[in-house]
Amino acid sequence: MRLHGTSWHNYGLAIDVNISPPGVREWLIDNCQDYGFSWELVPSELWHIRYFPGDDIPKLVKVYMEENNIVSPVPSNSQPATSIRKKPVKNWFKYIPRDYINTVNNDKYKVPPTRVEINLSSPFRAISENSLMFLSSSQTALLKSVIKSTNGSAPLRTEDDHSYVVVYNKKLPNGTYFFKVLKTAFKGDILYFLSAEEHPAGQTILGRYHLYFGHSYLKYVDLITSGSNISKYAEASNEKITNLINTISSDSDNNILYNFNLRTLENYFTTVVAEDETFDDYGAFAYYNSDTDWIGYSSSKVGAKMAGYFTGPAIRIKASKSPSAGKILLRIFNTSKEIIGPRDTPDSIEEEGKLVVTETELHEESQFIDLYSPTTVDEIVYENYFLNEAGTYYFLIEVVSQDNPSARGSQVQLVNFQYLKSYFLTSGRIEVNRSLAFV
Amino acid sequence: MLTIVTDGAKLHWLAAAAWKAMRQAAQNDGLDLRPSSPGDGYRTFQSQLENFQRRYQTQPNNNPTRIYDGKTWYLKDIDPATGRRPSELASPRN
Repeated sequence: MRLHGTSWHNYGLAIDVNISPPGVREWLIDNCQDYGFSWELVPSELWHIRYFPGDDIPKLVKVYMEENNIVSPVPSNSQPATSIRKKPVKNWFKYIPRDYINTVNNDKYKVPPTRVEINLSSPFRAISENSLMFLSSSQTALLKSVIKSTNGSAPLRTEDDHSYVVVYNKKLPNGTYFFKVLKTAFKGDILYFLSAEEHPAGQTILGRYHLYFGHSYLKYVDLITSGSNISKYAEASNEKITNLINTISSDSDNNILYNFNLRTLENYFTTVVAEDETFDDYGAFAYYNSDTDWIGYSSSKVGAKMAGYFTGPAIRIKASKSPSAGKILLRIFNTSKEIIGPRDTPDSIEEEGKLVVTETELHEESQFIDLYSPTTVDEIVYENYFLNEAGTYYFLIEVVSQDNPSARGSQVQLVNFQYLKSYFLTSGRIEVNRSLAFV
Repeated sequence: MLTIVTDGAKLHWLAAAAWKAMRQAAQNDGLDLRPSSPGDGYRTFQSQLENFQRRYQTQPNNNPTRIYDGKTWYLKDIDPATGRRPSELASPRN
């Protein structure tokens, strides 16, 4: 027994292990040194091990600490606990408070308290810069409670909230990090943002996307220095923010700040015209029995069908409305099945897909879409921005009996459909900035 | 600085992290690492002193000795905590 005050137990660095269970002693002999433990007295005290590496933390322990976010619970002795700010995580976005923009070194920073990684490891298809990306509500639901808790009871998930932004970071060869703040917005429960750079198909992307949140006006940070190796962001002035909010009705999102103007979502819609039967990976039309049921892309035959598919959370369908127009039944299915081509997936859609939009959701009164109109006009007859699930959607349009007494026929002719070409991503775990632990 | 690890035993936070990492690895191998008792991690000076005084006396005998506080201390014949002779124990604990 060591004298009191000289034992490793007094420093909290020794532990006596119960080595009675079979195998424990042998396991310790084989492994404990890998975790920084050794014996003090061998063989007399095989239960007594002590932690010896000091600050040279063993690799296996480091890994465990990183995985479990274990950090020192105390600040260094040189600074009082009330003012300590630990060094921020290197790849954590930071920006200059507006009070410090004009200081010489600009070395005061604000760091957002919380972030969530948005997973994009290796895209299936090439993604060009400034492509629309989104997280569906099933992904963002996880964030809801956390974001709310950092913002009190105020509702956050609205287009007007400013306390979040998506930032892309990439490690440079010199070990520093490049940050790019991206235009970001919630529409309903869906989070949209623009891709930071081109991501070739099948290649691991070099940077990481994170949604940062928890600071007011985080979305209104302003790029003040830009270059190949450095970009600095600062808090925009109140005046600038006010001006921006006042002009938010403009149809442009080409401002330097990061409030993604959702009115310009229009720019991201892709149109597939009804008469174009070519298809790509993202969206196309296809007609069933096109030689008999559909003549010139138009049909009056009850039971005639056409199908389409698209990716992304939103769709609009435009059709010809006229005095002689008929009625259609629209159903939308979600499926994870990979698309080969619409002609390769005919009747199986109804069997394999999951119906996400039923006829009753289309028109509660009639349950169908009536294309009748006293005058001839091309009009959007259906739109849905909130198809939240991942994957590819199919829609089936079927000509049904026209029972509208005003209609002089049952002709059905689609004009086009538009879908929001965007890339579905998933959210990762929530991280809290540990440099703020004592603030 | 101190962190409770297993069964109430405490360790310095860094040693605690190492212990937890090692314990998890042992669990993966089907073994349950535990301290012998809650007091077998960190011990206060007072508890270590009490341990010492329970086992050593200043009254001379023929047992092994230690020097503490300028005095010679003699291992007791009977440990009042266990009712056993200290010499019969596997070993005095560090």
